[in-house]
Amino acid sequence: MTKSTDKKTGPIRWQAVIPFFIFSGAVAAYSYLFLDSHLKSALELIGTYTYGAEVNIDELESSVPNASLEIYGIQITEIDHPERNILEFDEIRVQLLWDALLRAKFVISDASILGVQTHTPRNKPGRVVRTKKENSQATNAIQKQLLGNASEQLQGNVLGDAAALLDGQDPTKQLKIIESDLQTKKQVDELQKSLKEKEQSWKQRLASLPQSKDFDAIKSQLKSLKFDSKKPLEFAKSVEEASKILKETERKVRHVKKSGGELKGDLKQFKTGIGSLESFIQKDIKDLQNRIKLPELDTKQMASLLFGKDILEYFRKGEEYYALVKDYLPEKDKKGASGESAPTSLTPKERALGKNYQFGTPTSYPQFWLQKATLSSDTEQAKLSGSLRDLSSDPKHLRRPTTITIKGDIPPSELKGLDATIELDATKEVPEQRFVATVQSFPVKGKMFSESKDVRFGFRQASARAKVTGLIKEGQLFANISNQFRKIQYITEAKSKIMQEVLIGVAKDVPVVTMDARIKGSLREPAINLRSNLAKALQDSLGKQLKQQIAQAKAKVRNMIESKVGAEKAKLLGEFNKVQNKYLGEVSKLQNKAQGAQNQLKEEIDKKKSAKNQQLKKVEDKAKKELKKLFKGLKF
Amino acid sequence: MTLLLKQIFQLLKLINSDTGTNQLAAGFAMGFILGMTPAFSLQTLLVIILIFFLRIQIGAALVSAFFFAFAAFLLDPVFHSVGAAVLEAPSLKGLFTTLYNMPIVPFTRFNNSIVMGSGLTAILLAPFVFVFSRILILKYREKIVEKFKETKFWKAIQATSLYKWYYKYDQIYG
Repeated sequence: MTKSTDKKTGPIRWQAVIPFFIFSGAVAAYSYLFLDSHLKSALELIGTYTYGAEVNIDELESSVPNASLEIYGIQITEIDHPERNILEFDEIRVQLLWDALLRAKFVISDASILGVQTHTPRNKPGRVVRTKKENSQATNAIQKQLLGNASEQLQGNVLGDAAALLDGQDPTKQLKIIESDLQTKKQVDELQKSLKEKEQSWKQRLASLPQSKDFDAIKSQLKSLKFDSKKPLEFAKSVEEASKILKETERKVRHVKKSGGELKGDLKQFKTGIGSLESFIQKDIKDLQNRIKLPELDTKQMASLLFGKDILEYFRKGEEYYALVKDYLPEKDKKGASGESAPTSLTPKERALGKNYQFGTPTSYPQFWLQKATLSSDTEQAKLSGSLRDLSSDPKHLRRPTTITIKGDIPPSELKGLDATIELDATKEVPEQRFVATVQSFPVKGKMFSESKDVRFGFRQASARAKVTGLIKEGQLFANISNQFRKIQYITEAKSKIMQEVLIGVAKDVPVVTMDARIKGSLREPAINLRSNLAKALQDSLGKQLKQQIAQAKAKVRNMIESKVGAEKAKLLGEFNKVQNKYLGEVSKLQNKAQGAQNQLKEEIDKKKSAKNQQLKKVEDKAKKELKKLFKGLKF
Repeated sequence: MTLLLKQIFQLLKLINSDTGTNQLAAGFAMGFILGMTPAFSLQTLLVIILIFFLRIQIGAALVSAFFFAFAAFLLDPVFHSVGAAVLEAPSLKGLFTTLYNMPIVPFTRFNNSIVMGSGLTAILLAPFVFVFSRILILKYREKIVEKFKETKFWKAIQATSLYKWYYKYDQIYG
């Protein structure tokens, strides 16, 4: 054991001063020489893996005394086209407030995003680490509502079917194709087969019933009984025997009646089956209508077919941008399968989080506050200006909603007058997000509503104006999308002369096309109501021309199906009636015979009993008279 | 790591010597404060600076901080209750509001119930830990080390040339 290692020195450990200064110097040197380049590499790596494609930064400068960060030349690769950037920024500047930093708060007094460009070419293709995501539930729901089960390609042929009909399309070919698939025919065949089986079963059941001869035998049995009133003992025996025969007869009558009832039930059920053939005919008519594409002239449906794809595109774009933000929103802590993550080394157990108390004054800073970020771009790619204001960690305390505004033009796309405002208001009890976006003018080229060999209808070119307004509150979306197409050059080509006239007429009558969509409902499955004056005009014009043709075609389809299955249906009905009459007749005859035999037996027994009673009464009366005489003779 | 091992060897050496009692006891008291504090905050940094610049036995502080940290989570409900009671005291609200909006002070995270509770408890109990550990060190030296020195085993060790060589080396290089 040592005696002592303590040297007589003061309370301050002076040996630690030099290492402290060396350490501080090393930290300062690292910050000065390497911090910026390491920060740049870290941001590139994090950006690449969180976004899913290569992110590049040219230069980064940070300054601790100024509490500022400047990033130059940011390029974000487009996932679908790695040879170009989805976004490129010339410069991003962030200025923090030391006043807030000293209070452990992050307040960005000014952030500038300058020189924003989209779809710029890259020197070399960027690395992609994540593929594009599939449609979300909301997009699928919208797609289902707007486009139904039809393929998207079909939507471009909205007028092709009408044109075919105007040309007098003959549904016979289609009927031949689906002849073997006709549901009515299948049902008739099934019913015929079933009728044969049932007939066999009814035949067997009828054979098992007591027959006419059985009831004749009962009558003979009854006749053989001697109701000898002079011999009371024999009379009683005959009565007893008759009662037995009656009971047996009653049992047989019940059996016949029950079987008759069952047979009637079976026949009724079968008749209902034959009656349901009408619904199969209706279904077959609908199928054939779909196959030969008889158009339904409904404004709403027509509008969906004309502009459904456009609305779907709005949703797809919206969700793409939302997905960029959604991935970074905080999620619940992910734990292992057991719910608790087991410690892998000797470490103290995680401490409780406690409760954080806020002692802020109305003027104190929130934990994080981006006061203002300015967006500016004045390049050939985009002439945009915008701002992001009051993004904070505690909007209720700040009492200011976050607002994002973007204004400007995108010359390469000829998009003019973009003015968008998004307000994220979490200052109230129930947070809500509002958005308004208008585009004064953007070109539309080669937008085809119908493109088939029979008809080509669409816009060769037009100038469009769009306005989107919306509100998201408590998981509910309320949005209006309004598009207006002006200066339209229509494409109106059709094989059918009538269709060509209709299209030219519509093009003349509708110089400005409007499309209005109202979206309402939950974010996952919103309901959509789409209207367009073009759909209305097409409906009116085509309606006049097509109304008669559609009615005629429908009647034709019905007649064709009737002719295909009518004969077999009539045959089935005939067979059924024959079988019904035969078995119902037989059963009815048997029931009558059984009932007759039973009644006759009852009558006979009653008659014999009555005669016996009368005879007994006569004997009784005679005895009474004799007794009276006897009493008189004795003078009582 | 070398520095850490050196400090732990120094702790073993000091605990078995006759001197450095106050340094060791102060180390245990500082380690107690460090171990009880749930997260890195300004006061943690202050304690580390004190350990580094004052003659407090670093090994003792690190070892005790390590062991107290294992037991601290058991006391979290108590710390939370104490911290919440202090932070919710109406008479202190004005003081806390001023502190909360002052520069630097928010880095202490005093507005967290567990930080406040554990901090208060640790600072109040630290003098007792100092006194108690001092008594324990002295008792250890008196009851265990002295008796061990009287054993034949230790005397045999002292008689070896290796021990003599080590004793000489320790006297020269410390």
